[in-house]
Amino acid sequence: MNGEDDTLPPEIAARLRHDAERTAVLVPPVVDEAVLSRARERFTEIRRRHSRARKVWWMSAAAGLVALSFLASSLINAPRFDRADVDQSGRVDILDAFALARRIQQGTAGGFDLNRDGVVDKLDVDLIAAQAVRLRKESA
Amino acid sequence: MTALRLLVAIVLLVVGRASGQEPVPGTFRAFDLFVDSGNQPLAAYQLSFAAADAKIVGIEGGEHSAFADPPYYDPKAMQENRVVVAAFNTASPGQLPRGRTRIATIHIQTSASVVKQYELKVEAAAMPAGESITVKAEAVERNPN
Repeated sequence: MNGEDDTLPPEIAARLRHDAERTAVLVPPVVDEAVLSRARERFTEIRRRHSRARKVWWMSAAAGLVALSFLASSLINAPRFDRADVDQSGRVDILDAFALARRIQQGTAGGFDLNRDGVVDKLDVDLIAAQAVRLRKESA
Repeated sequence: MTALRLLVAIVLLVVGRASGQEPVPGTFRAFDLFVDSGNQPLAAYQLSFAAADAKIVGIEGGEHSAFADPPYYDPKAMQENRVVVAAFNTASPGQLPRGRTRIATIHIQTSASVVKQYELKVEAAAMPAGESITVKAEAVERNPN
């Protein structure tokens, strides 16, 4: 410029650089609010995800517990009833005892040792008959 | 001595009431249960019997040798007004009853002079090979003497 040197003198340049480093960065409030809002959204999302995961875990645990109790119940009750239903009619009546007695007579009664004494005999037949005539509470 | 007798009487009365078994005043009656299997031999049956205002006090077998023994029943039915009776016989068809036959007798205790309400249901019946059959059942009160 008009034959003059357009570079700053080193002392001034150093001073300006020094001042610039010391000056705090001013963030406009709009940007600040936007960053804060995004951060809040993000943390809310993380919290929601954790809460959802916890709910799923409890629901799975409850469902597992119910399934387990059903299984235990069926293991306790079902075998005896199923095994006593010799003719597989869906109910235990005297015809099941009769069917087992006939099988014993024919020598084909294996698998119906209901009282688990090692033999299939009249005691097993009596057990089924007793179940057939057992009084149940009246529905009325 | 009179006081002692009075005390014993009171104790017996209290114990009798506490046991909850109030006797039904009245008479003993009997119902004969008949099953009619028509021309088919009867090998097994299951019936339920209920009578109003009565307590079952005894059950005995039927007239035919195949069902002469008392049938299966729940011992809890004693002192109740309903019972399920059932029996079977694995004998050959020729040794089993056909037609109408008395298969059991139920003895009851009742306060009513005449048992007006009773119910008899056939729950199951079968022939010697195990096939289910339809039978007729009837409860007939014995003539009280």
